[in-house]
Amino acid sequence: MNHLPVLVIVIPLMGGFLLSFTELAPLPWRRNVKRAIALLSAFLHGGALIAAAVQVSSGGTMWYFLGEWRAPVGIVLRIDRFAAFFLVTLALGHVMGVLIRMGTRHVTQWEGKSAALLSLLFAAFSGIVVTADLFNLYVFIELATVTSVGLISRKQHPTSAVAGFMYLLVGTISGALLLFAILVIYTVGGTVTMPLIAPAITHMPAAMRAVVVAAITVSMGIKFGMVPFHFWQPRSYRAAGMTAAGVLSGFGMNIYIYALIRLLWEPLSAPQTMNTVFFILTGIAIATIITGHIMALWETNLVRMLAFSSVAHSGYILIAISAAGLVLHMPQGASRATGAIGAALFHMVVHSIMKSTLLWSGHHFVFRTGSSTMTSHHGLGHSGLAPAVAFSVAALAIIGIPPTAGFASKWAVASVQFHLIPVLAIAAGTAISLGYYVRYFIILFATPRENGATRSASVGDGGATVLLLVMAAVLVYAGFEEEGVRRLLTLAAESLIFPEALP
Amino acid sequence: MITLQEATIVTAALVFAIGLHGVLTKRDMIRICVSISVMESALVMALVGIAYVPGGTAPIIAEGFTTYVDPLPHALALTAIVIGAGVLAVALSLTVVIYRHYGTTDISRILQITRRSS
Repeated sequence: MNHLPVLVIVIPLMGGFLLSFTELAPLPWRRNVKRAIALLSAFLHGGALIAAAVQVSSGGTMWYFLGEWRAPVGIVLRIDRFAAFFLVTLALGHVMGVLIRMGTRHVTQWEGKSAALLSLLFAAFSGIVVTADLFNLYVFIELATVTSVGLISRKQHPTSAVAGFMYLLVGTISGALLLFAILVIYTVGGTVTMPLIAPAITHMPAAMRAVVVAAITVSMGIKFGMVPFHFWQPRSYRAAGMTAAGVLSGFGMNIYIYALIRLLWEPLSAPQTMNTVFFILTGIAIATIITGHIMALWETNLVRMLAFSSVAHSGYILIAISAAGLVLHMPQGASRATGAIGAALFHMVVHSIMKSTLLWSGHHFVFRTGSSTMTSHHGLGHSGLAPAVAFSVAALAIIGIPPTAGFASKWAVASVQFHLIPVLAIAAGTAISLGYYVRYFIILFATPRENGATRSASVGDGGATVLLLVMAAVLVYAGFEEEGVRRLLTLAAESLIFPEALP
Repeated sequence: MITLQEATIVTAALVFAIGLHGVLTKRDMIRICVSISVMESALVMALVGIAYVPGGTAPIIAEGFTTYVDPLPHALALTAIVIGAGVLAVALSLTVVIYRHYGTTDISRILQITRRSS
C-alpha cells in the first residue's frame, strides 16, 4: 500500500513533536538544533506533498484506509487532483515559511515553541485536505485552531494573549457548529465517510439540509474571515507578527475555503439539492469584498490593512465558488462550473503568494521602525531595494494591475460571473484597493524620512531576500502564463465536479 | 410520545443554546470558559443520544445479546471530550495571563484598554 496520504500528516506531526523538545537542548546548540529539525521537517513534508500530488496527477485518485479498516468502519484518506492542488500550495507554504523565518535577523523567531507550532499547523492543514472522514476533519480543524492560538499568542505580550483568547472563542463556536452539522449528517446518513454520505443525504428533509448547510458555511466562514464573522482577523494577524500572519493569511485561509467547497459539493451535494444557498453566498461574497476593502481603506496600521484586504479577497474566491454552484443547472453547466472552480483556485493560489509576499516583505519596514503604523514608514521604500521591489510587485498584483497574476486571477473570477452586480463589486473593490495601496506607496517612496534613527534591515539579506524576489517574479510570470495555469487548475476542478467513487 | 433518544437530543439542544448564550453575552472570561464547556458537553450528550438503541447493550459480541448500541458516536464522544478539555485548558491559561496583566477578567474592559493603547 502507498503510505504517502498518511505520511503527509505524520511527518510534520513528528517534526512538531521533536521541535517541542528542543527547549531541553543545551543553550549554545538550541537554535541550530531547532533550525535543523524545522528545515528537515519542512523539506521532508514538502517533498511528500509534492510526491503525492505528482502520483495523483498521473495515476488518479489515491485512497488510504487507516489500519486497512474499510469504510464505513475505518477512517479513509483520499487525495484527488483537487486535494493535490492544495497539497502543492501547502508544500510551498511550509518550506517558504521556514526559510523566511531563517532569513530574518529577528532573534525571537527561534525562541519558544513557534517552530513546533508552525509544523503542527501544517500537519493539521494537510489532515484537513487529505481526510475523507467528517469527524477526522473536525479533529484536524480543532488542531489547527489550537496551534493558531499558540502562534497568535506566542509573543508573551498581554495584547497577544487577548487576540489568542478572542480567536479561541470564535474558533470554538466554529468547531461546535461543525460538530453539530456532522451529528445531523451522521443521524441521517449513518456514516461519516464523505463519499458515502451523498446518496443518503437526498432523503434529508429540506429544512434540515438548510440548517446543516448554514451551520457548515458559518463555521468555515468564521475561519476564513467571511463578513460578518471577520472581526477577529486584524487583531489576530497583528498579534501573530508578520511571519506567522503570512502563513495564516496566505495559506490557512485557503484551507478553510477548501473545506467549505469540499463539504458543500461532496457530502451535501448543495449545487444539486440546494441551489438557493449560492444566491445567498453571492450576496455575502459581495458584502465581504466591499466591507473588507472599505475597512482596509480606513486603517492606519499596515498589518491590519493587509488583514482586511485578506477579508476582501476571501470574498473574490467566494463569489467564484457561488457562480460554480449556480451555473450547474444551466446549459453546459458542468463545464462552466469547472471553469468557475478553476477561477476560484487560481485566485486562491495567487492570493497566497501575493499576501505572503506583502506580509513578509512588509516585515522589513515594520522591523526597521519597530512599529506597524503606516505613518511611521515615511521614506522607508529607499531603505532596502529587495523588500521594496517585492512589496511593490505584490501590491500591484493584489490591486489587479496588468500584466501581473493578480490581474489575471481577478479577470478569471469576473469572467465566470453571469450577472453584472458581482462584476461591479469586483471593479469597485479594485478601485478602493488602488486607493489604500497608493496611499502607502506615497508614504514609502514619495515622502522623505524625517527621523533617520532606524534599526538595521531584517529581511534585507540572504535567502529570504532571494525568496521574496522569486515570489515577486512568479507573480509577474504567472500573469503571462495565465492560460497554462488555468488549464492545470481546470483538471483539479474536474475531480471535484466529477468525483471518483470509493473503491 | 417522545422517545428517550428524542428527549436526550432536545435536552442537548437546550443545553447547547444555554452555552452559546453564555459565550455570546457574558463579559467575564471565566464565565465564557464555562459556557464553552457547557456547549461542548451538550454536543457529547447529543452523541450519546444518537448512539442509543432501545434495549441495546454495550457493543461487545457475546452469547445471548443481539441488540447493541451504536459504538461509533461513543468513539466520537471520547475524542470530542479530549478536544474540549484541551481547548478549555488553553482558554483558561490565556485567562490567567490576561488577568495577571490587566487585573480583570472583564473582556469588554480589556478590549477597551487594548484599543486605547494601540
